[in-house]
Amino acid sequence: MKKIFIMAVVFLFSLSAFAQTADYVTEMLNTERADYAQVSYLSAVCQGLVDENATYDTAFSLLKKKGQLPSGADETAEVSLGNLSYVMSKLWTIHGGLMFRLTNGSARYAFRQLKVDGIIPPDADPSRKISGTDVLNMYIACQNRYGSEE
Amino acid sequence: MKKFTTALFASASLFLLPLSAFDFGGKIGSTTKYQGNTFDSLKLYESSTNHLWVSSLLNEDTLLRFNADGSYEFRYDETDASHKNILDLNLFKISGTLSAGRYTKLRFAAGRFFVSDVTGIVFSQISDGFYTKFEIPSLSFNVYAGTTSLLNAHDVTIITPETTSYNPDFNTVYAACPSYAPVGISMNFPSLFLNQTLTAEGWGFVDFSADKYTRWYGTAALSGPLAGNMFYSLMTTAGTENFNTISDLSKITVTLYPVPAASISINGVYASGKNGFLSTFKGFTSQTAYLALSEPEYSGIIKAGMSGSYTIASNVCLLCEGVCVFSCPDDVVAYDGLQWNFNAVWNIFHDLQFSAGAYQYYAQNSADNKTCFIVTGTFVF
Repeated sequence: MKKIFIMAVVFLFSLSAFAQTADYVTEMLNTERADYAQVSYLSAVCQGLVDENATYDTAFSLLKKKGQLPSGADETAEVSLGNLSYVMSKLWTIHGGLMFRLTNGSARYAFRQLKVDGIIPPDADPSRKISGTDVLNMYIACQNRYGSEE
Repeated sequence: MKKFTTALFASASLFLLPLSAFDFGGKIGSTTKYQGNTFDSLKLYESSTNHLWVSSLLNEDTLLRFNADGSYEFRYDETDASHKNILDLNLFKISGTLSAGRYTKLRFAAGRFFVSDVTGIVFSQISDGFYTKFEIPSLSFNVYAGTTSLLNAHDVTIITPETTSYNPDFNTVYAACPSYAPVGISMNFPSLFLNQTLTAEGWGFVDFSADKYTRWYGTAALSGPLAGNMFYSLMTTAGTENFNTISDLSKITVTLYPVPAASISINGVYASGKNGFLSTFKGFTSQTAYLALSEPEYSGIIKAGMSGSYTIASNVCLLCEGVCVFSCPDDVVAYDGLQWNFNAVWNIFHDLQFSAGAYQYYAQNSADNKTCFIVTGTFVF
């Protein structure tokens, strides 16, 4: 728990070093229901696909083009926990279960994998809509779990 | 009939429509055994099981959730050249939690789900009923009431008297269990003193059949850490049949975790026979007490054993066990036999598991010897 807290502080400070990302973090902390645009920006910046001054539009289009968003994802649509798992799973190399590998990390099995790895609580529901804080917490938990394996 | 079917689908749809948050999955499992009295007489036993489950969060505030699990199983036993096709509903439950403040909770569940008493020996099976648990940090209070008459006797075996009126047709895919009403209350005091947990529990199984084989049990259990990485649990149960007899079941377990990947456990169980003022102990759910060919119940036995487990590379688990069994059906305690058991479980992936094992029971009476080799595989999707 202490480790996660330290990681969170380091993460927020490192992001806040840039004005644009500091605004992003503030926005996410105030977001009750995160949308695909916000999640795409986080993913694209963390992968180095765009710089922090890029727009949500650019980040969303790029991720969509690379197939890193679930099919049918709309920029303004709210993200579910299951689909956020899919987006997050593309950020790291995850040595997942058999079905995760066979389905090339589909949203369904990305969600299952993150449950097994302790990122998501065992009783979590894949269709639950998530807040901006949830997105940041999940990113930190994934970074903590998978970042050290790379 | 058509109207009835339409109405049934309509009502099911009305129930399922709000299930916007819906998840599902399944499990395919296979168990293959070669078992028998001697090496020369090993016979094949095969069980193939398919499970499908659904889960839905109906209300986030009260964590109101619907869960169901259905299964189809094929069993083949070469011993009597019999095969069975078994359909069962293992779980059909609505559960939720009402919170008053941060630490006070009222949990509830209704439907079909797994229930066990604190010993895991008296009552350990699926059951249809209602469960509620009131919880504050220093205390939890549980109540359960249900019925067994709708359960499938292929999967749940309830101990009935020797001369029973219960006579199901085991050739059908679904054979109803005998009709009992299990009722139980339990009080649990976690961290009562020095992190010790005290549990007091009472269970009754009211028989509605002509057998009139009603049983009552009261259990006191204490568990917690002893020192460092050593933990214990100690429990004793007094049982009675129709308040005419008194019997005892006592159990002790001490477990040591020398390193995080290993555990060593010593355990002892006493289930009374006709010992002094005590009568023969009988549980409610049928369970095999040790690995003899006759598959004996927890009744008139003393069992002392040692077991260990070790996990290699986080995905291979080795388990071994040695047990010495004494029988005490009356005031004479006699050596009954010795058993060993070894099992290796390999989690190839978290959703694909393979295990292989073997066990033997060397009985004082060689007719009760048993040798078994087991291979299992499980795939979850």
